[in-house]
Amino acid sequence: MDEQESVVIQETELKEESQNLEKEKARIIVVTSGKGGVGKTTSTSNIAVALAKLGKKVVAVDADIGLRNLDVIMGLENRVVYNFVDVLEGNCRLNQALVRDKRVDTLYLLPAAQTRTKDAVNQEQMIKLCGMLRDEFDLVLLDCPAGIEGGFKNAAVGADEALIVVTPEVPSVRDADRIIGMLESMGKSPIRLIVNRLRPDMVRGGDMLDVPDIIEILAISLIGIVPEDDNVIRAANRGEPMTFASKSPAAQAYINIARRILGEDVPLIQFDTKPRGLLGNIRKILGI
Amino acid sequence: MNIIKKILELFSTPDDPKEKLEASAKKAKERLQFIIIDDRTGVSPELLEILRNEMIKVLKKYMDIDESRIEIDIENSGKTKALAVNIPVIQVKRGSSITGSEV
Ligand SMILES: Nc1ncnc2c1ncn2[C@@H]1O[C@H](COP(=O)(O)OP(=O)(O)O)[C@@H](O)[C@H]1O
Ligand SMILES: [Mg+2]
Repeated sequence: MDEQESVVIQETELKEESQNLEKEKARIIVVTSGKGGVGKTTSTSNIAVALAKLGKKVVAVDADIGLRNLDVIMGLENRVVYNFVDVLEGNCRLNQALVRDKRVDTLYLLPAAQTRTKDAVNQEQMIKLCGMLRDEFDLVLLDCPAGIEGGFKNAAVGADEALIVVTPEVPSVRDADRIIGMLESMGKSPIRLIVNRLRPDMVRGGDMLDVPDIIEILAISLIGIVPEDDNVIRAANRGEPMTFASKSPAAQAYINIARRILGEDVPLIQFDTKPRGLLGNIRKILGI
Repeated sequence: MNIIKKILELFSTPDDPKEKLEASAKKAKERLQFIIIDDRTGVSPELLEILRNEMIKVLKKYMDIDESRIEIDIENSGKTKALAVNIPVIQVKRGSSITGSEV
């Protein structure tokens, strides 16, 4: 064995030892949905930031190959050099592809390839990538294609757990049900639900599915409710996920979700979805 | 008329606004329940064909059946589904009524 090789081996041994001492088991969580455009990227970015602010070493992976936009939502698009397909094809090392977010320690982005199609990676490659990330991070969040799109299975294959994003609409809930079945058969556990874009006023008026209805229909556990919030668009415009600073309702909801992911028992925020009584009706008609 | 309706509405505290006729969430839930049952029990023609062939294989060990007149289908009745199979039997093979081990 030549000298260089032995040095390398020593280094990896050291690394492994220190990991055994301090690093808890990494968790890989896929963020997905049945239908597209329901808030996967919004959820991934905000939860990743919140988890990092809670002290965890986190990487947000843009696993939505060809529909790359996590970098833009996180405001890191100017710092992207390589992507994870480059890592898998040996064009660069993992460290070179990871973009460190300077706004909070311990937060990283692993970008997607924009010019590739979803079949650019196969399941073995994705499992390999997840293995590499598992060694480096406490939490890996995969921003995954929607289930009805191609590439979903490949992107999700390496994950342990799943977060399903659903909006309170018929097609979204229906497609979520199909994807939950697929994730169950892939052995993901736990699979938990984020209800996004809830409008308490519409629920109150009987014109939007309420969260208990959705839970009843899908029969899975809830990890959080995110209200419709204009700050989502403001944050996207700025490239600054809300959980960096904003006290907006959606930011608060995502921080709570992050804490629940870490096992904290955080009570659900109660939205005013209950029907108003006589006084409430008078107020409503008078507009006060 | 409209104003009277408004006033009446004021006093009819809607304990459950979901009962209101125009409340669309209730409708959404009902529709979803049906759609999802349908999705979950969705049986494709391909699966029916596979089932048909597998059943023939098993049944042939024990009886002569008329393969040309086999009917197999999924029947809906309200919220439940049933697999309806009709297989005409020509003759039960000798011995299979006891143990089936000779086959
Ligand atoms: N809670 C919310 N309130 C308001 N707008 C939202 C909310 N969540 C998502 N959106 C908007 O919905 C659109 C789709 O969100 P995105 O996270 O990109 O979905 P996906 O990644 O599932 O395709 C975006 O324009 C986003 O601004
Ligand atoms: Mg997206």
